[in-house]
Amino acid sequence: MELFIEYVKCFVVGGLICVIGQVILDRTKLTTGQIMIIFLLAGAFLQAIGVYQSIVDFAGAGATVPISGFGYALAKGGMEEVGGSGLMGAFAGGIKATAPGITAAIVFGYLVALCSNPKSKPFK
Amino acid sequence: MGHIGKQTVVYKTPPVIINAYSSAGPKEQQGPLGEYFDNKLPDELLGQDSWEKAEAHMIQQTVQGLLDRACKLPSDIQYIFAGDLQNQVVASTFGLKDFNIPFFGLYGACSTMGESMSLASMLIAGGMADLVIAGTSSHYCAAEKQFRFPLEYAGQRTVAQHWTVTGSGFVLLSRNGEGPKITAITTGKIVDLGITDTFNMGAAMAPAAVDTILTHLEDTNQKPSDFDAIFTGDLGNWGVAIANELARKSGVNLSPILNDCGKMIFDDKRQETDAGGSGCGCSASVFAGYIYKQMLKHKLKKILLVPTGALMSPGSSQQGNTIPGIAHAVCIEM
Amino acid sequence: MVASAMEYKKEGFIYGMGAKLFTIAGPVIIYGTIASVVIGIIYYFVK
Repeated sequence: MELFIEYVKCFVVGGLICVIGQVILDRTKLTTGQIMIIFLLAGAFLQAIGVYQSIVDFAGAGATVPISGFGYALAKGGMEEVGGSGLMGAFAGGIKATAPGITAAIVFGYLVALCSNPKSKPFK
Repeated sequence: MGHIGKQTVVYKTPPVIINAYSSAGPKEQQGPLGEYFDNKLPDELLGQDSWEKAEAHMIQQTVQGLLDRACKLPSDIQYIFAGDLQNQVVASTFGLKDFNIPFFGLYGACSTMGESMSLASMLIAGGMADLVIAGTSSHYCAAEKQFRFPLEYAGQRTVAQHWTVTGSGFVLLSRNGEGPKITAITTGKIVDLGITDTFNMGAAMAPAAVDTILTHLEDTNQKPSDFDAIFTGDLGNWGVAIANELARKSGVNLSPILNDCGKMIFDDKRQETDAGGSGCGCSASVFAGYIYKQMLKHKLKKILLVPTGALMSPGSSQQGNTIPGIAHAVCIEM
Repeated sequence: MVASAMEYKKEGFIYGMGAKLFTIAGPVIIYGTIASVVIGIIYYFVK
């Protein structure tokens, strides 16, 4: 039962983040790329003021999977490294924390792109 | 014959469109005009290894089809006018290089069919050539890759967005012979009403279309009812509505006879093409495949073909530029 | 990332696929990294 509630919280929060994005896409002239960067920076900022951590604690993957979660990880990494190694930590922390994610994206992205070819849209 | 009014040329000896040939991709074949296209492409790659090469191949097939139908050799043709949407017009270059016909490469975005037919007709009516080919093409995949996002990205489409047609149309113009004749042309100016939304091409092009159409009517002292139909290139649903409204504000009622190749080529609801078809190949394939045949059957006797183009580059809107439009009118009478 | 790289494979492995892998992801990594550095520096001085 506890596991089930965990999944529900994850689903609802993740969905809500996406709905906010969809509403912005429909209501404003912002492009998908611009909204992506806004969400990224929002996640970083919310972590900087300590808010995003609580959302992650509540919803788990529902908060870490969307792109705002990437911003959260970057900001958290930057802050933690500074706590450990001082000012220079600001330059190492973000990428250090997200290194596995970025590396996986590069490696697997490359492999998939190598093995597939773009196809056109299905015809109707 | 000669230049009359502000932007129009009327021909004393009108060049004849003695033949036409069209190619169209699978999605276009499933649209309302599917049966009219001459060369029905089996897929969008045509055995080539990139979209760009496929478009060049489609152009080559279309021009060859035109020559075969007209029983002519490439060496019989004095000039060929062609253009496309790819950077530096390479689809036309690679598609046409083996024909060895003196080549004028053009860029008018989606107005290129009007531009090529206008220039070709001027050469013939001016006595400088006997046989000239004019045409253009566009390819959905190549255009998306160049102008918007990679195909597999699955970005969301907006309601005013067009679907670039995979298609091509070429016509053979001659000094003599039987067929619909180009009796007059009106060359468009660049018209900019400040549209910046790259997903709303209809709004960007409608002012240019109306400007050219009204100038043509004024220069030749005619009314809309003098024509059986006016076909714009790819204003789409929104663009046609805007065009009718703009014309109405100038006191001209175009709505009874204004139609649009972009609206005609796709069934927007069933095929999910939002605002309609677009691309140089839209007006080219619809004219060469459908309108030309209707004129041969005398179902249309006098029309104004007004391909419309949105003049921009992938980078120009990112730099904050507006999207000006242009439209070239070709008056064709049977 | 994959969509861009796939589409430009025909232009070669280095300038095509390699370069295009980051067409859309690039801004994410750039602005994210800058944000993390700025936040790290501010955090240092606030602490």
